[in-house]
Amino acid sequence: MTELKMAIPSEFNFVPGVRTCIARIASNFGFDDRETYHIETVIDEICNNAVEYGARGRGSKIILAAKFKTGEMDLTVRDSGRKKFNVEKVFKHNIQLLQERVSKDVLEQPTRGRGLIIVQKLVDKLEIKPSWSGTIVRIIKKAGNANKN
Amino acid sequence: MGLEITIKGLNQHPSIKLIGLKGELDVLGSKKLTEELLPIIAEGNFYLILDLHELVYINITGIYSLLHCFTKVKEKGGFIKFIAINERIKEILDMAGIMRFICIYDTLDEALMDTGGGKIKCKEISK
Repeated sequence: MTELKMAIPSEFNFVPGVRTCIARIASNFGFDDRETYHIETVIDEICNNAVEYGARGRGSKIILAAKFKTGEMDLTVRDSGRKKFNVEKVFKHNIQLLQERVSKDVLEQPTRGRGLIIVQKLVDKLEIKPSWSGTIVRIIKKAGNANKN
Repeated sequence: MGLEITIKGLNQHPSIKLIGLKGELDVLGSKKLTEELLPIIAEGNFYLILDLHELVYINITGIYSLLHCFTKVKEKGGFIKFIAINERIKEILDMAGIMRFICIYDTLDEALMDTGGGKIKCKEISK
């Protein structure tokens, strides 16, 4: 098991470097090019959510912790909280409804809901734990499951 | 890497602008795209072909910035056609559910040949 932890300023400017960095590291643990691209996409969407919905400025950080072993990445992203992201409304309980609406009327849907739908399609496990002190998103991505959807 | 945008006219089709996107269309790239493309549309350029063969990354914000431009030209009776999208990006567009709204071609010639009822079906926006 290889562990990696990093804290970045809660700013959009830092997200491209982080998503590329972690995706490149993942490529050393049995993920192929397509899966590595998926990992980059997932980290991008989660970190952009963290910047958008978490605290910004004045030293606010996003904490990423990744555990790698061959064929698996377990990643958590924690923001420091500002607006409580209403997971129940946007995603958790309405995932089926949202997907149906997406398929029928794509242009009217909220951007963030769609980003999370893409994340959900690209990972093997997705957990979102909102709290007043910040939201923690945990994903598990396994190699060899890129065609699960 | 960021996003580089090139804009040029086509000699034989002066009403069409060819827009090249190179790099990453993410949150930062989206801002640049709308800042550069929306003024061009506002100037009366409603027929755009986007060459994406050098676009290596797109996220949901990037997709929405493209759709925003797309709806602007559609409102004026124009079009945006997409050429040379790589498979990774195509997969993300598909997951986002927008493939049925956009016209994708392999080459510029194919995009120019399709005038709406041509050999390549161009799916229309449903609203």
